[in-house]
Amino acid sequence: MSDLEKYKLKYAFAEDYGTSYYKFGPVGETPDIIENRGIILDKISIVSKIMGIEKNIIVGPEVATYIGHREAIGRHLVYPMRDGLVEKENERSWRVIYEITKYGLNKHRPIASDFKGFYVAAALSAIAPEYMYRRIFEIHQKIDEETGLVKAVTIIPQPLAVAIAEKSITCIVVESGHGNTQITPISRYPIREAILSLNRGGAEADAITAEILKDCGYGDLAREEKLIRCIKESIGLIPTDLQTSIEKAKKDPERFRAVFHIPNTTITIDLEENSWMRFLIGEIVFDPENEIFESFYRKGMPRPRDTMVGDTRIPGTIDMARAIIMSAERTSFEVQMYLYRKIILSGGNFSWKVPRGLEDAATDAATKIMSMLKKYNIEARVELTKDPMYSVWKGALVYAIAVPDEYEWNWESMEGWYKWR
Amino acid sequence: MNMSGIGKVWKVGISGGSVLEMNSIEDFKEVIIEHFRRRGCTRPQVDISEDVIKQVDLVLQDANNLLAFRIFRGIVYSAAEFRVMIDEEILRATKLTEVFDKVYIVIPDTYTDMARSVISGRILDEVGIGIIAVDEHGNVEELLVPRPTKLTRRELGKGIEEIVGDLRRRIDEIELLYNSLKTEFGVLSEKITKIERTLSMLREEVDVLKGKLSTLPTRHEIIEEIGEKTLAPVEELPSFAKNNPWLEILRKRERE
Repeated sequence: MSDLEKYKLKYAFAEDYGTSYYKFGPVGETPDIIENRGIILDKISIVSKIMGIEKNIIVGPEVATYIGHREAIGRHLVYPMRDGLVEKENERSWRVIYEITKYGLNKHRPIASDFKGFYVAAALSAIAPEYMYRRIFEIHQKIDEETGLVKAVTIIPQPLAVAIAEKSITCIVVESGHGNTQITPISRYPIREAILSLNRGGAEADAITAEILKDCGYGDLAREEKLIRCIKESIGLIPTDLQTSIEKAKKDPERFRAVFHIPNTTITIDLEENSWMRFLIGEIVFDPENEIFESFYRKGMPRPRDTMVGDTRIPGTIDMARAIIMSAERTSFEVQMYLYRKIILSGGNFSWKVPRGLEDAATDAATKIMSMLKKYNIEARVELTKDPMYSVWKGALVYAIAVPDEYEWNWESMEGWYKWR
Repeated sequence: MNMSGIGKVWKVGISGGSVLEMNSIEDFKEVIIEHFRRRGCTRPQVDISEDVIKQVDLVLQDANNLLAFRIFRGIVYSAAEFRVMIDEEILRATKLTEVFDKVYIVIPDTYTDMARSVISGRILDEVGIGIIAVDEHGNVEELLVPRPTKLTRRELGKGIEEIVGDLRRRIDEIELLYNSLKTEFGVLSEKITKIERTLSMLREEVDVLKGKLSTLPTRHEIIEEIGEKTLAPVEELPSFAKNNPWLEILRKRERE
């Protein structure tokens, strides 16, 4: 092992730019984590100056202490990423990304004479455009010029990082967040031509939860986004088979009864005889095309937008199994059978519980997709990531440790170390 | 000799000498214990309250039955005196039938004849009291066998109801446990089926890889070069990086 490789092993650093959280840290078992957001103070107030606050962007745990006034949140609080992407011209968002990155690197500045900067691997969405890559490189270069903290930087697509953390060389990673779902086949490299992105995610389940609440007489509560998400997570179920599960729930409403008590309030939501509707919340994530949802779309619930992949229009409501098959079929025929042998589900939109006693009608995300694929005569092994929170960070760290120092950044393969020194 | 008209008969005790040599109460107790021990009786296995114990001279247990003994202490010279004293004794013994299954009055056998003439066997049978005579040589004779009291049985019945209730509760608990185990068993067997499926897929995969490996040419020089130049000491790596096949794949990137 060369001295340079030893150095890289000692000073590798990984960053995961998630929509909600930024995870970061040097070689270790778990990363640090802060919310991916910042407060931009356009003018530093006199009080702030007296308190010794000189900078005009606040990131990290300190942010919470600045959130006092609702109006101020709207004006100053910036969440830079939307579905994993930062808009090209949104300078406020890029300023927050810069501050967050600098905060993370500074927090782990080593006190060692041999330290000449970190080898940083930054994980971005699989559909991040080239301008995001360029800006991330620029930000790290600028931080290095100011602090000497970055020796080289590379960027890894998040699904590839998941595959690395799961030690899977050939697989399909399905990442489903709040606003979108990316299906990425991987065989030693992410097969970029086969990546398929759907304009739907947890937001669809939120929307149907709000509709159900309205139908059951809780229309006043259906406006609070955070509350809807809590209710969705508490009562939503993935049906083993929608029709059979609904029939069971209608026959035995007491067993399937959905009751949710809002903490610290006197409000209890009880779907009573409409408790069968809890299966719609889970089903829409996997098959929004089911005709049962038509009435909701007609009532005004937004229908997921179609996406274009090359010349092909992918319907927004395509069922999850068909979308996986479409993505797999864009890879070579030979690799397809190996891809189906491991489908990894990652992201919060796949975290569904099966309550005790309802195992005959409700199921988990992996089993659901497995049975959906079976309907298309595809035998597949599907599993959830072992560590949904940190798997991207872990994969990025292995990437930083393993990619050789002499491998310089290549815009064609989108791999290697980006250097400026 | 028929005493009560309902078939109970006073057994005539051994009426030897008129002088009772067994003066001590402890002597009486010893011979009674020995007599009943031979019939399988034991010291009581249950707790009896202090108040009750004070009212008897001896308590023994015969299977589930509690036997109480009161020793007649009076010294009498006529049948009239005996009647007065034995009536009092019977009265005290009657109260004990509320607590004990069988109650005995123990008399020296010198009073056997007097007892025969003044005590009604029918009444004693009704209240459930037995009479035992002990002679000066320590021989014991059961003159009247007591009938177990109904009240005690009722109390026993109450206990049984409690036990039955307790058993029912336990059976209910076991049923609940059984049902939940049945559900868990279903879930586990489903998981095992999945594992089996995965295993068979892995076997297939291994077979395919075996086939591919056998056709690959050996390239010692490349492996040696990589081994020397890049392999990191495993102990320095975080757990998720150890034995991770991607380490080797990514290290070869530039060469590819």
